[in-house]
Amino acid sequence: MRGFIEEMRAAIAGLARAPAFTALAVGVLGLGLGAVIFMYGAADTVMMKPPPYPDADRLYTIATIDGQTPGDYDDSMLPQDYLKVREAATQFEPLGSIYVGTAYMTGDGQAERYDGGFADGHIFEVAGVAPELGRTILPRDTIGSAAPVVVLSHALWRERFGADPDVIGRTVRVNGKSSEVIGVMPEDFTFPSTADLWVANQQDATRLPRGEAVDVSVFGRLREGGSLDVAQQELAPVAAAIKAEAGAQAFNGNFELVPIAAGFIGDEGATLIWTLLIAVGFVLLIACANVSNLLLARSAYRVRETTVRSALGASRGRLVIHMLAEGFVISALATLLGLLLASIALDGMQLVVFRLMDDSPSWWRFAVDYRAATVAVAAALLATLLAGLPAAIRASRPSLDALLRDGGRTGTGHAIGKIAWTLVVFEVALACLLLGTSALMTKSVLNATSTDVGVETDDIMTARVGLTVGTYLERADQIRFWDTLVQRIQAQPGIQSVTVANALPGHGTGDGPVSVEGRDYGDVSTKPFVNHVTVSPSYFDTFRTKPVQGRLFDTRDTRDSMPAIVINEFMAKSMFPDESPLGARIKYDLAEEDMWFTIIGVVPDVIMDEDGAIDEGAYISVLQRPERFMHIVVRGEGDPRSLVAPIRTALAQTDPDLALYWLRTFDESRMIRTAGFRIVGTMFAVFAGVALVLAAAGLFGVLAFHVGQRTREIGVRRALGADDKRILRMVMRASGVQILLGVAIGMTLLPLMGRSLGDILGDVSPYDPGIYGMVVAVMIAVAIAATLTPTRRALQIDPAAALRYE
Amino acid sequence: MQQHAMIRLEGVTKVFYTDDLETHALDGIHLDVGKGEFLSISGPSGCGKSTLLALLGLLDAPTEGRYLLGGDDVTTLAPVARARVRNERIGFIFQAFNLIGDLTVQQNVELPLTYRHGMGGDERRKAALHALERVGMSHRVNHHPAQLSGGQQQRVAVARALAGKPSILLADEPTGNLDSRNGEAVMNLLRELHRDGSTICMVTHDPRYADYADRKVQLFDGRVVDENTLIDLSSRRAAKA
Repeated sequence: MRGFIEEMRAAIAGLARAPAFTALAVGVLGLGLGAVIFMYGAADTVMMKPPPYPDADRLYTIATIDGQTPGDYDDSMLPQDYLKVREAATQFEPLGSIYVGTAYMTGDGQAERYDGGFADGHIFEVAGVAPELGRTILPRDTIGSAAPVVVLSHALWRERFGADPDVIGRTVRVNGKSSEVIGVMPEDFTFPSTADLWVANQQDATRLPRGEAVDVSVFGRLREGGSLDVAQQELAPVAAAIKAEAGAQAFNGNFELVPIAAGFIGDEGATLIWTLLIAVGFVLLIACANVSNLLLARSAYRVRETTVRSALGASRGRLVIHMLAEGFVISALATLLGLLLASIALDGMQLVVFRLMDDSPSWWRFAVDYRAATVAVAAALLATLLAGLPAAIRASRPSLDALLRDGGRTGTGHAIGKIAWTLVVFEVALACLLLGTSALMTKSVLNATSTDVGVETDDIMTARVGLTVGTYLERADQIRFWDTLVQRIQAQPGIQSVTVANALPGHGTGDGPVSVEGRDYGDVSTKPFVNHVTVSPSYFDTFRTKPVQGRLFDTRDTRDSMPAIVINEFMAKSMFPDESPLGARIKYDLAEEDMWFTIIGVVPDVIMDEDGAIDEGAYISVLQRPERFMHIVVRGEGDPRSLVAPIRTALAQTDPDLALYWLRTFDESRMIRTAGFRIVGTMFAVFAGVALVLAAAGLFGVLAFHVGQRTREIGVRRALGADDKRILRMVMRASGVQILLGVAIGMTLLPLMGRSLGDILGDVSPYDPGIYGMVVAVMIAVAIAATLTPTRRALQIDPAAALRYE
Repeated sequence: MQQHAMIRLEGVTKVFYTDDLETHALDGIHLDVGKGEFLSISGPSGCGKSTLLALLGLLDAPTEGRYLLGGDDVTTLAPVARARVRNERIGFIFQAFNLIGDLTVQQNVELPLTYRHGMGGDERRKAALHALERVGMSHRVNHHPAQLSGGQQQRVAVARALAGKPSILLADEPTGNLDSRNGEAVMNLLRELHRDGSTICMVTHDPRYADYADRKVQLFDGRVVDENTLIDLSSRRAAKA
């Protein structure tokens, strides 16, 4: 131990005397460790860290996995299915359900929209957190005839009710109903995602048709001694029974228990995070290879010192400790740097996630904590061994008699050069792999996040408004509301055009299997899936879209007239390749109404989904089949934000109990919608950039070492008449083989990595030739840049000086 | 002067093997060095002087034969034991000084003592200072090697060799990198150490410095020869060339 402390002390002193080397090694390893700590911190937060509830390790959510589409993951289910699951589950203490939606609160001023948790009578028991005041929602509150009640979040109680301790028993108007305040939850309580208030979910699941119910998320706490396997096994017959009862078209999946911490990102999200973890693992390995190379080079220059130490009686173990000690000190400093960098990056992540991903779970706190610090220390120890061992082992076998035979010049440079050479091949291969993977991901992300969705979105302001469950009960009332609202907004000054749509372009839509009249697709699994958006007739005018065939919606398309549908060109080509689609009739098999739509027109393709892909898509008129929640889309003159006031005025005139929310320009809205993709894409790009810089630095370092070691030889060759071309060839040959071998290995592994990303890549092929070509070109360009300085140095070697070189 | 053999080599041979070549660096060497003896080893280039010193210093092992140090057979010791013997019983003085540039004079002299089990920091510092006083370098303890002249560096190297109170001092061309004035100074220092009882084996090719020794050993083609034989063999080789 004393020896170790002495070596550590000596290592600190030695590194202090080599500040440039120390700064470079600490910087390189710090970058790698920072990437690992950051990524682990992020992954731990979204996948592993237990949420802040009692016995959180026993909390599970029940996800629905689509049996037809592998990996299709839904963290919710219909309330009817929840009742069946609840009946069959024996391994959970409480099992509760909730969905978060819009809650309008009025009564003492203008209506305001809040995130409302629509809870069953058990969800607070699942959370296991008692209210600060009053009580929580009980099963008796969820009966349709029960008096409406509301539980306030601590923040809402403070902001809207001045933290009045007598608030219990007061009546407020929530979603148009007078509701009694029955409780206030403690500060920071949320379950599972952020909500401002909670009301009882009074959907009568026993009477509602499947298509009309709102999905709920189901959570449960495994009872003490309960079996997860049994709990999972109990879900299979429930799924089979639902399939038998509702039909394979309506339900063809399974239920799966997922730990609550991992339930919010789904399988695809988990795959992405694992891929990112692998990516940072590569970055760390590249950093380790770099530091290893630096230590090897240092050991080569210090080989005489090591030999002297050995001659003076240092054992091999002591020499290994001596060499590793520097690695330990470098790793310790790099860990501090990595923690600092990761902390800054995680703070940024926290800001971005909470600003752009408003449905993220409340317990996500991106920060360096003891778990991340533990991983940091473990990664640093691993890095020390990976980076330090080659140099330590090499240096621990000095050629002792060389001290006597040639005055202390010892010849380990060649052996060290071979290790360094191999490490650089490894680095180039990893960098190649990481760059290729990142390029594939970045292309996929760029596709998904492009603000060009195929329509003109400049000068457009959007907002959302909804008719909550229990209001506007008749479809005719809903149609009237939307028609009136659109007309009132249109009448406001400064408005060029206005429309409502239940989904904005590039924001994701509903979809489902369709039947085409006169065609027999057989099983539902072979039917085409078609996206659908419900819009008001002015939609196409607002987005400045002209029909390519037929007509658009107009005054002829009313609730009582023939149901009309407009399809996109993609659908026209894929489903009606040899005929005009006009006049053909299609039906959404899963729609609550058995309604055949007649195709009246074809419009140009617009990106509907979040992933940027163009698929079959169709438009339905809100005046024929209304939806409860719609985006208002307004095109006006000047700053789009100036359009907010006219929209508010029109809404207040139409229904003062409603409030606008998600007031965003179109581009802002799309940016927020695709925030997850952007965050992931940015992370991949940053990791690839770091890997490239590290690989270039590694190549530079090794080549510089190579030239340094061969200075005398180059001098001799010069003295014997070698010209620039020959010296250049000698140096370039050393790096060229390394680069080509590394690139070849990396490019061989890239397809495997690409394939493992699966659906995450969307429309991007894992074998995209453009990306493969780009990776090879970038790697070669970086390699050439990295070799320039050492090559120039080799060409400038003066033979006379080189022959005096020691 | 000679009491009993501090060093005994019995039929020591050292062969270096390369891919297609076998080089006999030492060929059946028999040598005794008594406690307190000052021995010089001389001979032409390539005769095996440095190889012999490497074997004596346990920096290398013989291919054949036996090496007894203070009566202990050290021929086939394991690497860890060899390192311990080097540290506790042998002091090295190299031609190129081989001081560690990053360490101060004091730290350089203490260095072998840091590898010694059970020696505390204070004890090390005292031993190092004492050794530096013996070579007249105690006023330079905080200097780095680069701040010293060649002669001063070699005196520090001698102090480093002495600090651990070794049984023998092995000096490899200790004046080889020094001018004549500094060379004389270092040789006088070795003579003083010898007078104080140190056992010294010194490799040198300079007859002036070989004269400082009690006994001279001549090597030729890996064998110990007497001085007359050496002259004869050397002149015959020169004539043949």
